[in-house]
Amino acid sequence: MYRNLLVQLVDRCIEDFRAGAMTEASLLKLRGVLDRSSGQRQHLLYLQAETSSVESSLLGMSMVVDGEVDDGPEDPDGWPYKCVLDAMGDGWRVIGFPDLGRVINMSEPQGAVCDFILEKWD
Amino acid sequence: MRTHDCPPTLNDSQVLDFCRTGFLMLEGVVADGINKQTLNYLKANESPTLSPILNEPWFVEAVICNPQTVGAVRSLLGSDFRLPGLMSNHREQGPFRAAWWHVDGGHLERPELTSLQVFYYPQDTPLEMGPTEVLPGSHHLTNTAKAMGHLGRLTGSVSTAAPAGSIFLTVYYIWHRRSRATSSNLRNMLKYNYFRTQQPQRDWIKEPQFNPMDVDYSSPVSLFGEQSYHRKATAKMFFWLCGKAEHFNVSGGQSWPFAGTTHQRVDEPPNFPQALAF
Repeated sequence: MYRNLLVQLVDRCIEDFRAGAMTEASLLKLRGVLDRSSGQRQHLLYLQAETSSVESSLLGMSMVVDGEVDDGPEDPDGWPYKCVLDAMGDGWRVIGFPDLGRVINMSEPQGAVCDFILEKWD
Repeated sequence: MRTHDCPPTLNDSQVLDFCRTGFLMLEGVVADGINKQTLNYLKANESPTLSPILNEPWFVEAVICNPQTVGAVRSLLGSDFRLPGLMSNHREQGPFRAAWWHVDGGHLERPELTSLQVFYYPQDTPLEMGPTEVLPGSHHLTNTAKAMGHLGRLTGSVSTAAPAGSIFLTVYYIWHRRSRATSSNLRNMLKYNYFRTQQPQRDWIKEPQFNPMDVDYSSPVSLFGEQSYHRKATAKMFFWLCGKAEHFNVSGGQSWPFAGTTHQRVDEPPNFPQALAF
């Protein structure tokens, strides 16, 4: 997300330079974005859902926020999201989908296999 | 080989319940005096491997052969079961964070119940001291410790927070972890195994009204697995314990034991193997 913004700003600077319209303000803007992006951290959200649907109920959760592992509230009623779709609506981006090869095993019941992994950067 | 025998204390329903949950808590069954004696021994022996305590007659009599405990062990493992030969102390100084969910190494096929994993708290172990957390019913789920490290909160998990002298029995491969401790207290938790020496048979306390055709085989972790399969897993384990594994057969659909007991049938569930009847 930030990479796209940076490329966009650099492209604009190049266009301004070619047009002879490069100003200190456009370079300061670029530096401001660079300053912000260097402080960014990745946060992870692991959600175990009942099925591979992003709307299905959650069976488990844990998070990595600001570099710390956090199990979240003990009581499932207090978990921040009720399903994967809720988390997506709050800005979490799905980066890992349940391994369906593992889910589809008819020989015996499986455990907590519908694992979604989501990330956020800020 | 050190073995023990005694009368069974669990009945059909309680054995079935153990098959459903894989977990049995016996609260405060060890006398206070023995808990204190154990704690004194642990102060003098801080090693996590503690097998010499199994040569202490007072400990063997009051803890290893604790009547409520061995009665349950006898019910689940049969007569002349083998006594523990190894003892570990999961001694942890609080505060500490929750450990990873895991199944212990060396777990084999199910539904055979060839051993029991047993835990003993010699001191009061409330939530703030980080008691073990277990997921009842998870012995029916397939997973490996290496694939469980990212798990955190799990719906249906229970704490084993309990008063001093509590002992709990589990299926060896139940999912468990040390929970978070917020206090600075020292937590001791002794862990040991009993082993089966005899072929399984229904030699626990029989209940005249117990009818295996219409009891509830559902598991607390039913939502984790494919719909209704947990009933099959529970029933399979129960009949293995009854010594009838070779007669266990299911035909799927709405037949026994998949349909459960919540649906009010107008007749008996189809395809109950008659060889399993009591």
